[in-house]
Amino acid sequence: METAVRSSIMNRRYRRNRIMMALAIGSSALGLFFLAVILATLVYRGIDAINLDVFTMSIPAQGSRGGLVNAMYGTVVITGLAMLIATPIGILAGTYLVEFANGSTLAEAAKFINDVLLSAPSIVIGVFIYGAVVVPMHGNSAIAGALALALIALPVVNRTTQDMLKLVPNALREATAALGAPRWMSMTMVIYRSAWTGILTGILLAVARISGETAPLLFTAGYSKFWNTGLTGPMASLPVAINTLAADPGPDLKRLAWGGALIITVAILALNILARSLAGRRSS
Amino acid sequence: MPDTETPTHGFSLQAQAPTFVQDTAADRPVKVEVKNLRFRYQNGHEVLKGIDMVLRDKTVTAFIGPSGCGKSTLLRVFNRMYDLYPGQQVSGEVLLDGRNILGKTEDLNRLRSKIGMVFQKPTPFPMSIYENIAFGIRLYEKLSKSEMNDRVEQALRETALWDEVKDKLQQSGLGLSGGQQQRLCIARAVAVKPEVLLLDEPASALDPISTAKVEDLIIKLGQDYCIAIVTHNMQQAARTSLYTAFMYLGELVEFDRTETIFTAPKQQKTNDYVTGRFG
Repeated sequence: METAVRSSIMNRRYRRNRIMMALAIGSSALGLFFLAVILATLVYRGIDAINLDVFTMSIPAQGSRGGLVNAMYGTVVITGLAMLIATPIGILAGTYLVEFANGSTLAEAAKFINDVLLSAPSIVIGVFIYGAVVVPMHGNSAIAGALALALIALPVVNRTTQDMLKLVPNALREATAALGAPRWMSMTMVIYRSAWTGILTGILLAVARISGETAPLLFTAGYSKFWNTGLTGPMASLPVAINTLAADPGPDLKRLAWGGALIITVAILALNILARSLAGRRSS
Repeated sequence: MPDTETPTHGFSLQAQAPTFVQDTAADRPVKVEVKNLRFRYQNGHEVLKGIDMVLRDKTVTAFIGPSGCGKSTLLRVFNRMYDLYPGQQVSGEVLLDGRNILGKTEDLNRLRSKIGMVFQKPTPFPMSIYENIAFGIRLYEKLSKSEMNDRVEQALRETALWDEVKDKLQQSGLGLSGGQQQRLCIARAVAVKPEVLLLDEPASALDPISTAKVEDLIIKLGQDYCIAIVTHNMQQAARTSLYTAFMYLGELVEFDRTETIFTAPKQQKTNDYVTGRFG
């Protein structure tokens, strides 16, 4: 027989559960709602601008035909170059910090600074590269842009590498050592092999993160309407092109900006999905 | 031996008296000799307080004792596993075929090629079953494809795993059951042709049937290798080993033939432990 006290406690608990559940569902719905609105707006306003020209021609003047191919090329080149710099350094640094530093003071300090860098405002990094590279080189360049993005990607890759290596059970390290395998073989043949999907996921997430960055590119890689392949000259990128075109009073250019926004959003979404599916393969 | 004195701890699930490893032959030659071995962790805690004992060739020696008595630590001294962690100090001597292996100049990789180890949890590498075995062999030998195939098969046969995996050698070792994974790890250790095998609670994470298979394997391998096994399972020690070392709080309390340790121990402490009064 349930006492009145017990029954009232239980009822209150159920009520509280319902309220919290409603709040949780409501919050998720709110987040998803805005995401859906953003995507819908992008598709609605950007789809008109998506045509063959966008993928084949450079940025036009108002009133003439043109596209975004130079900006897309720029984004791919600058992002690719940045990852080429950040990936090896990030993986090696993360490996050192987890596998070889044995928790020394220097390593702990490096981990802390890396985490600070992880959340540094990207415009600050842009300003830093402006002072360190753009000013001495007397002008914007794709290289400067790539360096700025590399500085943003580096802590992400480093941190992911650390996290993924920490997930590798210590027993595996001991088992490899117990066979008499030298340390480098243990790392390359066994430890990386069990961590690589996680590390690759981190790299893809870093790509997704930097390919949408605008602030650090504004005064490093700069902007150009033309098909520029020289790494030492200014190079357009999708985010900076969107930023520039959206501010232009010309309606064609504004529409092109919407098209660019749609393209980069879909591309980053695809990257994220790819990263997720890799991460999912890891856990299964 | 009167029946009333038969220890019951660990045997309680079985009605019949334990069967001990019978070896009427004379003792085999000493393979590993431990002299006044002391071991200290980084925090200064001394876990081995002067151990003297021997491991004989082609013989299984079991290490028993309550948790924290130092038996796993002792095992991990034999292949210098402790070298992976900074600040751990060891003193005394461990002689492998008469040569001290605790020296600073000891080639650890070479040492570990002679002294293999299997851990409590199965540790298959993230690669195919075939590669799991070939990995170790490649560290020490250059073999042709067909020679390597033979060696892999030989190691898998030796561990009674061949019939279970011969059709899926290229599949991931991680896809095997826990018991199969553990036998794969034993096969991997055996494949490099070691002289000594260290087994650190090799069956404690396995189900009873897998445990029985691993125990059979230990008995079989004991005819060819010098084996040291740490176990919490008294039945296992009794069934698999010819010698047993009982350790307590970092000291070797008693070291004798397994049958003697379990039926007529000389120390009260040993008697209390094997009869289940503590531990």
